[in-house]
Amino acid sequence: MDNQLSVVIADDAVLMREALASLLARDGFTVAAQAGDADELHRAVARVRPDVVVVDVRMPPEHRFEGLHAAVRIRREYSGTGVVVLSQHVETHYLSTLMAGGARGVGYLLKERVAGIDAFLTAVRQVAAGGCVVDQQVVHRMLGGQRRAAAMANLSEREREILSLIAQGRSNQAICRQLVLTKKTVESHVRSILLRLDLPPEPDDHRRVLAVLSYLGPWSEQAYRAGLPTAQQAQQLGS
Amino acid sequence: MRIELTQHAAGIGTTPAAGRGSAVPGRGGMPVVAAATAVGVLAGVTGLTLKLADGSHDPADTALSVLGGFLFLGAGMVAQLLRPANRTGLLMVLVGIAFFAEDLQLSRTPAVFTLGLLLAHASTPLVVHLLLAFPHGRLTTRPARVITGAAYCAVLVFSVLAVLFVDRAAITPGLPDNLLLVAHLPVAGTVFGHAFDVVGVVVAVGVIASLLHRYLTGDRAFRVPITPALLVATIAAAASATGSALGSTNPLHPLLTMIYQVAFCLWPLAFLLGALWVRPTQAALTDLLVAAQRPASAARLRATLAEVLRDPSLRLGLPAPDGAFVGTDGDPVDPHDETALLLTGHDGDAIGVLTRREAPWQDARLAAAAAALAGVVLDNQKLAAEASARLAEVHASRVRLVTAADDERRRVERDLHDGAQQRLVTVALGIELARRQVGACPDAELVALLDATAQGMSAAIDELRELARGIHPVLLTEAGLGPAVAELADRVPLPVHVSAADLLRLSAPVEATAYFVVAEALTNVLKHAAAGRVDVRLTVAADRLRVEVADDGVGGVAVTDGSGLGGLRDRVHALDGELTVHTEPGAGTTVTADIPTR
Repeated sequence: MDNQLSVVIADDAVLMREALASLLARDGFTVAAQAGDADELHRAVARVRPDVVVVDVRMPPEHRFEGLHAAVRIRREYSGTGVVVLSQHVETHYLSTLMAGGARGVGYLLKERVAGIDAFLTAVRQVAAGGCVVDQQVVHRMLGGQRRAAAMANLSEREREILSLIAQGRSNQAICRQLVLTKKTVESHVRSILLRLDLPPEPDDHRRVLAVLSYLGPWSEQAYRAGLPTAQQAQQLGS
Repeated sequence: MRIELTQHAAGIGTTPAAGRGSAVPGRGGMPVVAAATAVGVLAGVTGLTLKLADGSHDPADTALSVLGGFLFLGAGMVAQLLRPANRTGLLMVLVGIAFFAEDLQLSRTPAVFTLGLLLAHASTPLVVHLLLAFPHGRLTTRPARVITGAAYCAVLVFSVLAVLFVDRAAITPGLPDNLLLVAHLPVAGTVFGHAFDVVGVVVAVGVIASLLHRYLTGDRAFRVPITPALLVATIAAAASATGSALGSTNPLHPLLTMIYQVAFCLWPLAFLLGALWVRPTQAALTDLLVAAQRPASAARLRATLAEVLRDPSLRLGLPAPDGAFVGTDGDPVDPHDETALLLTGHDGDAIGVLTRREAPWQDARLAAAAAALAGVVLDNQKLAAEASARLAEVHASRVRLVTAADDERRRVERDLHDGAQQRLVTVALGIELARRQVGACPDAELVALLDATAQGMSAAIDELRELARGIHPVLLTEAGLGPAVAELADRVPLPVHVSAADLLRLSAPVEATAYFVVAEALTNVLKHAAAGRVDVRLTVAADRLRVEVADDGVGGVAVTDGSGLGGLRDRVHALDGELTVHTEPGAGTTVTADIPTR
């Protein structure tokens, strides 16, 4: 790696923190700081301005959503810093909170994804580069949710597969690679999907993923339309 | 006269039940009667002076009639003093005043003379009132009220008309001017006189009939007290009638007149005797009983006792923790005081003490009975307070149980996430690292084993996540009822329509209870209802959260106490809410929980 990415890790479990640090360091990241709670994290980010932060959703003192709220705050205050939230929850509600400021440089992964080492490292790099990564299980829950069952029934198997990848934050190019399809085929599928879901065609990947997630989320859609009250709430709590 | 009397009556005769808060019953009576007596004495002295100045009256006759008036005043005072709750004393005093007022017409001063003319027959309706209201001082029957009212009206109307249109000076020269005279109409005078006589006879017949009826149909409580007054009245009437019949020339006439006058003097004493015979005990205790029906503070009970026992200085002490008694005024009450009466509860314990001013004329049994009744009242209040405190405690402990159970669920959920799950993730990472280490290893079996272990670990983490969510959904704590229910509904393999618009955050026990009601209701729908659609509505109105889960399934599924909803009903009840299940075969099922939000 000629250009090393700097990362700050926040997790109150020392063992996990060390394991993450070791994984990232071996992969060429510069682990600039480690933090055990949200305050430490904020100080570290203010000091080192890392390319990306990996933060556990639960941190002291309440072990609830301190990590999520810290992530929201970092996204607001440091636009150059990507944020990967490691979560125990598949509920998409948290996703909408996190995505309130847009889909640039943000990741939401279930914590156990850490064990799938390569995919995890790739995700962190993607977010550091300004991409968006959403855990596939979270996306699958969204696609399988009853709220959108009727809309999903209108899509073909292939279209559902592509929609899932869009929601996970993949670009058309990445989708082409993964499904071994031509760029043209993927683009036509994407157009068809967006049309069927009554979503506007979006050339921008970030806005596209946001639109799709908002559409799929059981609660986030409402939050999205209503000026994102959950995000405001989160910001108040996070600041 | 009439109006004035009514005002007095309202002040004096009000029972504690009816007059609470305004005039204290009876207590205002004494000053009023004392003032009336003072007026009466003044009137009596004036009358006596006028009679003596007039010179036309026989001294013995004057002395006896004046004595009769004063006896009415005195006996009325005594009756009032000894039987404060009885209006008879006041009526007697008023009769005395009226007698003297009638003498004002002897005055040579035009103003006093005119007043005397107006009051010339004042005693008549008062005597009627006294007789018909005897012995309790209240007109209890409709005929009695009608007759008395008629007597007042007749006297008022005829007195006023007579003053306005009859010039006494024209009949008896030498009298002072009638200041209110409008015109002298001799015919009117005659007509008035006759009409007055007729009304007088009607009223007299009414009074006699009423008394006779009550005497014959009433019990001892009426007959005994009124007997002396009736006896004296009969003797007086008989003497008067006989005297009139025999004519003033008959040798027996002076004797009969004397008998009449002496009887007149005895009349107030006969009334007094009757009034005293009537014990106030029963009436007072009735008042106390009525007052005791309402829940009252110790101070209020003291006030009621003070009223009933006519003793404003009465003190009520309640037991303090150190065994002493503390009065409602905050000062200690000595239970060894010689007037002290101990109040005992149902278990014989002393639950209070009364001290009072000894009144020599008061029936000691009244105080004892009042004390016993006060004991019952206090005991009742104590028991009621204990019961309601216990009920409140049970209620609070139910809420605590619900809250504690929720807290425990939250704690378990947190422990699972922060402990077991965290650890499993670390182990999964370790396995993955190990797998990489052996990546180049030709031992295919080991690689397969590690792969299987990694997959099992992943499944375990998923299951643990679901377990934790089932124990307590984090979303509920973090985002509230609406998002948590929406997420829940999204997981149910059925079209569930959630309407939770404008739902604000509620207290944790309320949100958790509502959430579990929805969760349980949805579980039931999946199990039994064969529904095609479910509607979940969450609304808050007037400080109550309404949770409604309605399906279009087969319905008719009974909810027993052993079921999940049966358990939730207890939980809803603990928060003072209601859980109802409305179901009919073929018409679906609606589960409704109504929970106060504060």
